[in-house]
Amino acid sequence: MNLLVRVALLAYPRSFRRHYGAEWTRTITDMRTHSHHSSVRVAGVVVAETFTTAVHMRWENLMKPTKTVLTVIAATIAFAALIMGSEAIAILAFAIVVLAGLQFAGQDRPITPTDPSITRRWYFWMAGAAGAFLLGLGVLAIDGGDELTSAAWATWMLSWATAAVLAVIGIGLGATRILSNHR
Amino acid sequence: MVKRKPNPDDIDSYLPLPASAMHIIVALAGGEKHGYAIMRDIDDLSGGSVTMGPGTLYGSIKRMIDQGLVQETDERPDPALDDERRRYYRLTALGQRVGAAEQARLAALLNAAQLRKLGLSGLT
Repeated sequence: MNLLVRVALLAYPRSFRRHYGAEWTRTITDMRTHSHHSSVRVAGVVVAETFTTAVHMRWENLMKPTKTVLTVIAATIAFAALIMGSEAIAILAFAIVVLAGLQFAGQDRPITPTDPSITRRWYFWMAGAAGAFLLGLGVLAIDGGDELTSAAWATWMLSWATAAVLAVIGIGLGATRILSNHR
Repeated sequence: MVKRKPNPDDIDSYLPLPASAMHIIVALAGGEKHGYAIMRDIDDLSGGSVTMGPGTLYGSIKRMIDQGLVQETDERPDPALDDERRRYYRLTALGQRVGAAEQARLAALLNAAQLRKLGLSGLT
């Protein structure tokens, strides 16, 4: 448990660890010794917050200094693609998605208690991983000569990388759910 | 709902408060507390339906300190009996005003729900 707590704390931004790390650790000790929750339940909360609160803080920290730079780059790409016309429609669409995402990410959204429905939907992530994996397989089957074309190679790599990321999230959420339900 | 940037001269700019922030304000309305005491109070107040983990708690407290709603206190009840890792928090005057404004907002919402017999219609 102590190892889990130490590893979970590393998921939080350095500034948070420095200011609240000792108190955060002390509070988990209090939860284990004084509350009616079992150690397994407390471990579940710690792991769940690593996937939600810690990621949320990391994302906010990342977006604070880079948001303006990324917005300017995406806006420049969108403008260039607009001038180039229909040939660059995919680039334009991508730049618009990035711009919209940056606006959403820029909102100072509150940190909320871990919603059990997040872990409840772990299988959505696994289904997404399976879909991305099958897409990669499909590319290999369709363009499965001795050597893949560059477009097929990029699609295959992207789909399997996505599958790996989605699977890791799904497994993490599933494990958290099992830990949280085990009292 | 698009929220404005919080401005101490405009209490409404803090509203609606996130549920976690309002829970912390209500917990601290009873006096200054350390993190685990806040967490336990929230658990009691909500009848166990809201379990706030330490990451959420300190993330929210950090944000509320940045917004001037909460402050750390230097005083400790009894240093000999207490762990030095614990910090104590209390509401600021702004935090109290924002909490009162959120209470009024929630009361108005509850009143509207009662006037429209939301509970009764939900049972049929």
